[in-house]
Amino acid sequence: MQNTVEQINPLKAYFRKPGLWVKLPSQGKFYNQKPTDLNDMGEIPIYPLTAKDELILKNADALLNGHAITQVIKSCAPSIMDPENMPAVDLDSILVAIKRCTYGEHMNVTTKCDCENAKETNIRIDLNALISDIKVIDEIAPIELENGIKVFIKPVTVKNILSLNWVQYEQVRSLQLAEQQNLDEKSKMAVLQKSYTALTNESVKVVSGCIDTVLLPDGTAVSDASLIEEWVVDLSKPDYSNLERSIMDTNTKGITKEFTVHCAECNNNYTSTLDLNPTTFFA
Amino acid sequence: MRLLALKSGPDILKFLTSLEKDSKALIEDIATLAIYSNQSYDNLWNLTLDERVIFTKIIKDKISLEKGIKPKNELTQEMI
Repeated sequence: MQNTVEQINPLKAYFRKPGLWVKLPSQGKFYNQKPTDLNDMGEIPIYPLTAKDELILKNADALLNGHAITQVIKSCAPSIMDPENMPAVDLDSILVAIKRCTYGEHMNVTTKCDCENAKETNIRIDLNALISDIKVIDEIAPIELENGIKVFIKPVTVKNILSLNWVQYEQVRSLQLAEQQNLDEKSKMAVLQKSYTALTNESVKVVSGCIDTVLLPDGTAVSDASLIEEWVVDLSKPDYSNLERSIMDTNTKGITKEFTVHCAECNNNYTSTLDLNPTTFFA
Repeated sequence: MRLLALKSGPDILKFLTSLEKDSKALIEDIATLAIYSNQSYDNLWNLTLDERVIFTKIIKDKISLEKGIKPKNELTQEMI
């Protein structure tokens, strides 16, 4: 007989306590499985890193293939059941919240002005201020192409970003290898061409993966991923760029990454950007 | 990725070495805690940084007390 009674872990009272609750820019939309502990304010609990999590963030291979990120999300944001398919814009907020509840409210950042005699400037960023200023994604308006087609998009997922990074890394490595092996110009060009094709293919895959539905002028709606990918491959350059830009724009919401720094050398203010890449962020 | 941003081989090597050094330091911390606290090495990997700091302070105080030295600051709720 199947046991239908849910087992309660007697150790549950001794589990880690949430460090803080963070607002998800997506408010739980665009998830295949909605975060389990999402409250009415669109927040989820975040737990501090354990020593085990910190160790995995020091593993170069795990950082490169994305395993470190997904493992850390599973440990510190257990409400998210499928971290790979979560919107990338939520990842930024979660990373900042994890940093806040593990290492405290300030983060030291080094920046450098573009001026001639610029020296590195160390500034302290208030993570509480960043978290309280998280901007929510409102409804994403459909993109209307010149031929009357309406494209309904969804934000880039963590998986998209990780696969794009991985392909990019592999291509850089193959180019470096070609350089080290002293290949002739023709062979180098072939490697370069191959890299360019691989990156373009991955980019097309990401863009088509972020299209939810294509609405034709006659009212026909296309949601089949393979049909959409076939259509994206055939798009004109301006239409493709328009789609790509709109999709990437969804990733700019959430945490405010830009901040103003005063340069002591040229006496001007300049804008710097917070690098939320997990490899740098927890290093 | 940060590895992609690094321009030269030595830069990458420096980054990888720093990751390895940090890992070893963390393992050493946990091993030290396990030895001095007589707790399971596996369990200690589940502690957060704050918990490890408090744990270390209490162990130091305990060792001091055993040596007959009274700790200067006792842990208070405020400190937690």
